[in-house]
Amino acid sequence: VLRYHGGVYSGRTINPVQAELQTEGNVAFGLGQALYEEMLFDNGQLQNGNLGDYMIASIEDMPADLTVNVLEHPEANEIHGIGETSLPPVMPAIANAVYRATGVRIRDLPLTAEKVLRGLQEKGQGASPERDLEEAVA
Amino acid sequence: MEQSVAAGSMNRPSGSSMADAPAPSAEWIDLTLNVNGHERAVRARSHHTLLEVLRREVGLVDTREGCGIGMCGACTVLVDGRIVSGCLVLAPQAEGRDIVTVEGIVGDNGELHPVQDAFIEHTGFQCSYCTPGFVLATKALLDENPQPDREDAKAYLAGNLCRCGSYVKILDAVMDARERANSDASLNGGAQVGRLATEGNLKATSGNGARAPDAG
Repeated sequence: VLRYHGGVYSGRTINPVQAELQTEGNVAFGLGQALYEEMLFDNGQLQNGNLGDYMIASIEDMPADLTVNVLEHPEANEIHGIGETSLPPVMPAIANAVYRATGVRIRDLPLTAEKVLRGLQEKGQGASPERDLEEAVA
Repeated sequence: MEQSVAAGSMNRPSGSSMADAPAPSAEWIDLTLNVNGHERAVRARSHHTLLEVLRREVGLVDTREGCGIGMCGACTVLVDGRIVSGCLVLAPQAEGRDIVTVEGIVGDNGELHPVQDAFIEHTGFQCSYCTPGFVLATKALLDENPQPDREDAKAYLAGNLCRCGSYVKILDAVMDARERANSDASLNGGAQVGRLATEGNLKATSGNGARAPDAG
């Protein structure tokens, strides 16, 4: 992931730095869920229950260009909870980017290279996102 | 192999007082660890890690256990100036080495290390469980490479995980720490000998004693 822009509506921000940290942190968290994190079970037993086998996002995985906006309403007095509210959009945003780039629609996380390859093989050689878009519009 | 160990522990004399250790060697070893410039006499068993001994015996609890398998960097300590995972080093292996924890990088009068100042200024943490590891890793990075760019810092700090995802501000803090450390170095290094006699510079020199092994 090269570029990500996150935004969250906070009503009236109490702690701007913490709000930014939470929103940026959600990108790190969601990026891990979108690309790496998967609990693997065998006969009900968790197979990768440690940080060596269950990969989470590290500082190297962060987008080089990451900006966040904590949106305030100038007249709002109510305080909205933020934090995890900006986490759910991260995964579909990345999944949409994968679809835009490869034409493969993946509906189960994480978005692994294997799933993209399987999707490409299923679609056959002639597939392209542009054609899919045209079909969708038509 | 594991079974033979288990069988051996079952045959152990029942007088053993420690309940936690089904280890082949149940004997306590007297160790002298050089922690943050002080000699500390501790007792440990051969399987106790440096992390356990630092927390339990020495009482320096800012070194934390995250994963226990060397993946997360929360237990980072400096041994002879190099970063190691405290959970992967056995305490007897650290005897005779120069061990520095995050408590040991503050100055003599409690003034914070430039890296710590930078982390606070940029709020490079949320829950701060990973922060001691990040601070020590950043210090080691700057000792090794005084002018890292963002990519260098990312590659060096990839072994430290932050589950809050505060990486953006951590990286800002590292870049700021680079500036602070370099401006300190220009004051305290040999370049401006005339200023070395001032009190502040003497403090900073002693605070950086852990760098000495790197000089060679």
